Amino acid sequence: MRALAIARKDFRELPGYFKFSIVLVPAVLIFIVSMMILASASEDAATELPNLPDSVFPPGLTDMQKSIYFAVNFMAPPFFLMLATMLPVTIAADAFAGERERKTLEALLALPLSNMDLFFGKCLLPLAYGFGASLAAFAVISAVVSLSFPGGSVSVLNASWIVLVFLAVPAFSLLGILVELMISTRVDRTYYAMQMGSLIILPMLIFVIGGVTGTLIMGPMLLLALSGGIFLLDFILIQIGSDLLSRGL
Amino acid sequence: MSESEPVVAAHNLTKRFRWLTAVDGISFQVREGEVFGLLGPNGAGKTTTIRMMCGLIPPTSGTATVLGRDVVKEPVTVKSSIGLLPETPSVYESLSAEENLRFYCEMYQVPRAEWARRIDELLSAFGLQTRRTSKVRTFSKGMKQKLALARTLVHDPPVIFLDEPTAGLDPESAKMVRDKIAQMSRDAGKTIFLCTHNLVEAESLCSRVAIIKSGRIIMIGSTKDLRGEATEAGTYVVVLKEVEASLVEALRSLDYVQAAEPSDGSVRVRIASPFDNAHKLVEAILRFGGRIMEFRREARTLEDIYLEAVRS
Repeated sequence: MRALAIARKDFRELPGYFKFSIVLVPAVLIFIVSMMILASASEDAATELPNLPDSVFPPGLTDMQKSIYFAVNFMAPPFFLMLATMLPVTIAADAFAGERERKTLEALLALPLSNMDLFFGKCLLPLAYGFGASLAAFAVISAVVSLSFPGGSVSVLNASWIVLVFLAVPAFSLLGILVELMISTRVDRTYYAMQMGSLIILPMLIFVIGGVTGTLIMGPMLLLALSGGIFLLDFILIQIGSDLLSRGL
Repeated sequence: MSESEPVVAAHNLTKRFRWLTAVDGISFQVREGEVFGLLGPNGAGKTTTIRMMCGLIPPTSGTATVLGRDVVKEPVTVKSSIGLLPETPSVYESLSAEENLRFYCEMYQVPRAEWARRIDELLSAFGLQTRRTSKVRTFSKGMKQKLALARTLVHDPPVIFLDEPTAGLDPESAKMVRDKIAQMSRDAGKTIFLCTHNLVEAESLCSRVAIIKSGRIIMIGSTKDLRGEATEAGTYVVVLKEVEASLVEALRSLDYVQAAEPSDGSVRVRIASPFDNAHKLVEAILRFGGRIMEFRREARTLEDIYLEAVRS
């Protein structure tokens, strides 16, 4: 309950530009996926499709449908994952560095909370923000795709997207949040934490490049395995982060 | 915890930050109901000491206990029994005064049924009742400091740590905060640990003080004791019927007299070892023909003692 109180307080204290990002990030996500669908819905795009085995596509698709299917299910998910992770990471930058900037960190650390509870409490707001934004974006993208393809030949309501939104995004977001929180405990300014934290996103470019070139297909099994591994890493990082807090101001 | 045990204690407490030793093996004890002042110039180690005592930073070596609990081994227990007012007000500016206090009530696990009464009492006590729903960012510095002090008391802690509680306040607000501190000690029996370099404040509030310089405690005791024992010399004011230059010269020639300065019908005489020499001074003045109207030891203020200690 006290972790929730910290999250509520953090929400009230969050600078306005962070609050704005909850609208901005889903909007960018929706825009990117919509653009991908539009760009892939052409004869030229269909001919430039990477050489992939037919088994990765549902049976009976035309070349153009394959192109759109590729854009929606193979190219878009890594972008979605990267952008959905960026939002909570950005908010997490403010967690401790912001308290230090606003000169409230001493009183916060003087609270009778274990470091684990405090660290967990500080995770909640960015995690909720990130998950909420990705759900909202997913709902809109799902609606856009369903309306564009009424027959259901292309849909995001499949195992890959479900695992992506409900497991991979929380797992990667939490990873990014935890790393950012650790940075945030050590720097004086939110801005510095944001700069350093943005580097967390870079490894995800592997998935983006893999998705665009068709060399790394984010199928449900891969996503499940990745999410499991990342959740395990998250658990270890919570311990390390809590220990960092015990080193003090 | 027995009555004889100190409420707050430090033993050989040391904090090093890489090449800098901020606090160097200090030891002290604070008894129940005492207002203990830690005095020292900027950078002497006061804030580092208070941070270690409150479990915000771990000591490099040594131990610190509050109510018999080790601050490193039982940080949560210690933190639940103390109130800390840091150097800056530490209140959330986007929240109202009431919301700030509610947040801290929840954090300190004050029973929910008591929140309203506790918050009302504190806001009234600090004159903030009319601004209870205003955002703290609209408050003056004095109001923020009062709210911060109210926040420190929200869980009714038996031990309170105050770091420069009146720094930057206007005289009226500073007096109000000082009065509250005195009241907390006098009426509620709180044990108060006060870091300050405001010597008037320390003299009026503290029953005992420690003077810290370059991370080391160079003097510790009650203000009364320090006035008497801080030095082996004492200054006496001798009011005479007539102050003659020859008398002053004769006094200066005495081996135990360190200085003698005439001043408007009196002579200020500083002597070594007052306990041994004060009566000799009286005899000498009479012998030199002086007619004594008044003879008194000049009261030394905490400021005199402090300046003497930190300059030595």
